[in-house]
Amino acid sequence: MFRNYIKIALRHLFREKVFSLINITGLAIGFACTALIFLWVIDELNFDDFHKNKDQIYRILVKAKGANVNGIDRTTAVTPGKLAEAIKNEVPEVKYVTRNHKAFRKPYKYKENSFYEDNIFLVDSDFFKMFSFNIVKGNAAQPFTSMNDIVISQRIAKKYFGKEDPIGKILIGNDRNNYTVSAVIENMPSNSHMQMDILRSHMGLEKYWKGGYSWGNYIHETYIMVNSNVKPGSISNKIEALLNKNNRIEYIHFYVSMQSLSDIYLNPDIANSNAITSDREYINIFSIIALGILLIACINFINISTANSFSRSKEIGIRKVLGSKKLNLIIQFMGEFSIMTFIAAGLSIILLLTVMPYFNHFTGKELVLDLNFFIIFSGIVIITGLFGGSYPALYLSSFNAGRVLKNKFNSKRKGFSLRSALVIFQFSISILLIISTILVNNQLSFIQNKNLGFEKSNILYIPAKGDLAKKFKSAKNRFLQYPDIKNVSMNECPPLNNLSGGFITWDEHKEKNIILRAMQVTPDYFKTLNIKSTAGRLFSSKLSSDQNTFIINEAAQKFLAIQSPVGKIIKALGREGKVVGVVNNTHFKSLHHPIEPLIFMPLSIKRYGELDYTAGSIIISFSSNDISTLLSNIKSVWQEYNHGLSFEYHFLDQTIEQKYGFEQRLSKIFTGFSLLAIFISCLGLFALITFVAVNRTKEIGVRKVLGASISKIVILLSKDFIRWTIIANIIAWPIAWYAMNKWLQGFAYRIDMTVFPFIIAGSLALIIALLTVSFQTIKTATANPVESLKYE
Amino acid sequence: MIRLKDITKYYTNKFIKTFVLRDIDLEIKEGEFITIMGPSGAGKSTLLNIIGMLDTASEGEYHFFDEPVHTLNEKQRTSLFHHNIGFIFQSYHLIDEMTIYENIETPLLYKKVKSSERKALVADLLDRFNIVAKKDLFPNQLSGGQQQLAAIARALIIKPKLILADEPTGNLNSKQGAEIMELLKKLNKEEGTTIIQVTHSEEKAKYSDRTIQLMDGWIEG
Repeated sequence: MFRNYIKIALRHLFREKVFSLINITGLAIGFACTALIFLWVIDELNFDDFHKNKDQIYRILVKAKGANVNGIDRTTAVTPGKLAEAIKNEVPEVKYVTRNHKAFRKPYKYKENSFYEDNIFLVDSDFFKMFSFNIVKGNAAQPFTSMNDIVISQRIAKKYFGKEDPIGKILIGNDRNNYTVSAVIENMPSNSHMQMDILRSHMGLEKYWKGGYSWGNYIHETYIMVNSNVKPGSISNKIEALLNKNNRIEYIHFYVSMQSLSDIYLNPDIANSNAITSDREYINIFSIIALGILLIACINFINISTANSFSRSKEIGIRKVLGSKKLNLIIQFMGEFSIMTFIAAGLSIILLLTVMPYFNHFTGKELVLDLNFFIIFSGIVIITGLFGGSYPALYLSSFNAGRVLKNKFNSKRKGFSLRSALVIFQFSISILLIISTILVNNQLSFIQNKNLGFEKSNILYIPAKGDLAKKFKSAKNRFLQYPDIKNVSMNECPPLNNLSGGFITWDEHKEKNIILRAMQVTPDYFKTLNIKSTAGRLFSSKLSSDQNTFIINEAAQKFLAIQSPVGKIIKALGREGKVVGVVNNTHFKSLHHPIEPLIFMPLSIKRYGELDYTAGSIIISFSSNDISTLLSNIKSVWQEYNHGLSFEYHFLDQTIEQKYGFEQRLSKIFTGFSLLAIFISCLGLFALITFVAVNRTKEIGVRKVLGASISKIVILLSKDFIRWTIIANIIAWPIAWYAMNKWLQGFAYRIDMTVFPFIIAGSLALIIALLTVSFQTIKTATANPVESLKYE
Repeated sequence: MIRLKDITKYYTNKFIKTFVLRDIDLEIKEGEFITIMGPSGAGKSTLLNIIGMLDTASEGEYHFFDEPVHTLNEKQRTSLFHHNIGFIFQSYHLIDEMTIYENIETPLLYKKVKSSERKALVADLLDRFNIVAKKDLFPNQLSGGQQQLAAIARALIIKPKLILADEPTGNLNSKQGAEIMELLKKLNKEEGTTIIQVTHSEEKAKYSDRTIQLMDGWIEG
C-alpha cells in the first residue's frame, strides 16, 4: 500500500514540476533560516557553559547606595583589590578567588614582531583552577611562579613566535618590561564572556602601585568559586560586611550581590565590566523572525496544496469510489506532503552547509551542525510537515465523490477565506520586516551622522609614550611645523575614555557623596576636538595658574545644580581651584547612553612621563587629503623622540564607527531576512495566482466572449490580491510601530518615527504583489477564449 | 437485493428546495439487468449514486441485501459498497498517474489483498479483456475503448455482486460501444452479476431485461 502511495506521490511531484519546486524551495529556505537562527540563539544562551565548575562560579557585583555617581544608580562589577585576599582569609565557603583587571592597550615585541595588543588581563593563580581554559604548553600546575611570568594564547604564540616554542622566551611589553612566557593557553572559545590573549599576574603591579590595590579604589573585578552545595545568598552577606567594614565612607553603604557565571553574558547593564555581553532582546527578536519565516513557508505549502486540489479532485473521487476511506486519503496526502517536506529538509541542509562559514564569519561565532542540532532539526521538520500537511490532507480527503466525478466540483467558498487569511498573514510579516529594516537603517544613519559635540573627522591619535609625551611641549611645536597639522593635545587615556573620577565638594555642598567622572587633558584639548565654550573660557597654556582650575560640561552644570559655576571654587580629586568655564556636551560614549556629566582638569606636567601606563594618547587634528604624507610626517616626529618604540595610530571616526558594529550587523540581518520573507511570500503568491487563473479559465473565456476587455479582466483577477495587501498593511502597521518604538527606547538619542517608512513599506508590498500577479493575469487575460471554452 | 422506498433527494439553497428525486420506489432482484432512462436533468445519475452509496438520500429508505443503508455512517457504507459494488463511468475515470496495471490493482489495495494474490487476479483480468500488452502504459496512451475496458476490469476485480454503469458507452463510437454492451450482457448472463445502467440510447437499453423511465425526478410507468 505504501509503496503505491510513494510511487504516486513522486509521479505527482514530477508532473507538477513548477509548483513542487516552489513549495520545496520555499520550505527549504524556511528551514535553513530557522535552523541558523536556532543555532545562534542556542549559542547565545549557552555562553560559558563549557566550564566544569560553572555552577559554583560567581562574579561579585557592588551597588553603592547614598552616592550620587553622575546621577546614575548602577550596579558595578569593580571591587577593591584587597577584597579578594580578605575573602580568601575570612570566608571559608569560598574555595578559589581571582581578581580580573583589564590592562590598557600596550605594544608587545619578540624579535621583529611588534604589535599593539588589546586583550591583556591581570589575574591571580586561582584563575586557572576555576575556569576550564586548558593550558596546552608549559607550566600548567603553576603558571605564575614569578611576577614577570606571562601566559599567552595560542593565537599570540603563533603571531609572535611562529613555529618556535615560546616557553621560557622573553616577550617585551611596553618597550621596557621583560616577561617570561611560562605557559600557552588555548584560544578562548567564541562563546566565552572572557576573551583574553595575554594573562599576567597581579603580583608585579601590586608591588609598585599600592594605590591601585587599596580598599578605596574600585578597579578590579573579583570572581569566586564556592564549595559545592554552597548557596550564594549565605556568603554575599559576609562579603558585604567585609567590604563595608574596610571601606567606611560617610553617607555610603555598599550592597553586594553574586552574579552567577551563566548570567554574565546576557546582562549588559553592569557598569565597569570587562565582560563581553549581548542584549537578551535580540534573542527574542530573532526567534520571532525565525518563527515568522517558517510560518510564511508553511503557509505557502498549505495554500499551494489546497489550491492544487482542483487537479487532484478527480483522483480523490475515483479513490473514494474504489473503496478508499477518508483515513486512507489522509494518510496518502500526508505521505505526499511528508515526502516534499523531507526533500525540502535535505535541500536546506545543503543550503546550511554552504552558508555556515559566511554566517559564522559575520556573527563571530563558531557554530557547527552537531548531533544535537540534527535531532532538534528533525523535530522541527517533522512538526512542520505534520502541521503544514494536516490541513490540506483533511481538506482534500473531504471531497464528495459523487459531485466531484460529475465535474460539479468547485473550490468551496470556505477554502477561499482561509487562503486569503493566510496570504494576508504572510504579507503582514513581510511588511513588518520591511518597516523594521527601514527604521533600523534610519536610526543607524542618524547615529552615524549626529553631531557628537566634537569633531570626529580629520582627527587621529597616537600613543602618549616615551620622550614624545615627556617633552610634549616641544614635541607639539615640532608637530605644528607641518602645515597639514592643525592642533595637538594630550589625554591621560584614549580620546573618548575617561580614567579618573572622584568626590566633588564646594562651599554649599560639603558632603562627600557626589562623584563625577574626570578627564585630565592638556590645555588645547578642546581646540583640537573643536569643543566649544558656552560660558567662561577654556584652559590657557600661557597661564601657569591654570594648573589648578576646572572646566565642567553642561551636563555637569545641570547635575551639580550650580547656577553660575564660573568662578566657583570647588574641591575635586585632591585639588582645589576655580571653575573657569563650561563647555558643550559631547557624546563620548555611544548613543545608547545619555551624556555624562564631566569635569576636566589640566594634566599635571609631572604625569607626562607616566601616561603610557594608562594608554594615554596624543590627539592630532589635521587638514589634509594626503593621508600618506601626513602619516609620514607624524612618523618622522615619532622617530625623533621615540626611536625604537612601537608606533601605532588610529582615526577617531573609525574608532567611533566600531562602537556601532552591532547595529550595523543588525541592519544587515534585518535587510537579509526581509528579502527572504518577501521572496518566499512572492513565490507563494505566484503559485496562488496561477491556480486562480487556471480555475477561472472557463469564467474568463465566457467573460471575454461577452465583451470584457483585457484590462477589465486583469483588474478582476488582481482585485482580491490588492485587497489582501491593503488588509495586511492595516495589520502590520500598529505591530511595527509598537515593536520599533520599544527598540528605539534602547537609545538615549533616537529618530522620531514618521509615517514615511510605513507608507514606503506598504507601497513596496503592493507593487511587488502586483508585479508578481501581473505576469499570470495578463497571460490569462490575453488567452484565446476558444481555447478555454473547449474544456467543456 | 435492492429495495428503495420513498427515496427523495433535494438541495436546499436559501430556503428553496430543489428536488432532484421524488418518492422513488424501486425493487431490483439479484441477477437482473436494468436500464434507467430519461432526459437530461431527470435525476438518473443521482439515483445511481444513491444506489451505489456514493451519496445519501434526503428522505426515504434504502435496503441493500436487507441492510438498511440509510441508517449507516460513512465508514459502514464504504465498507458495504466497496466489497459488493463496481462502478463504470462515462469518462472512464482512470487515474492518470498510474499505469493500467496499477489502476486495475487499486481496489485490491484498499481491500488489503496480499501481493501474490493481487498479481494473480490482475493478470487474470488483463488476459480476459485482452489488454495484457497495455498493462504498463498510462491511460492517455490508450484509445477510448481500451480505457473503458480497463475501467471495467477495475470494476470487476473485486468480484462485485452489482455493477453500476453511468453511460458506459457515451464516449465511444458505435463499434466500441457495441463491444462493451456485449461484454456486459455476457457478464450478466454467465456470472449472474446484477447490472444497472443509465443511458440515453434506446438501442443500448435493448441489452437489458427491464427499463425504468425517470422524468423530473419521478418514475414513469
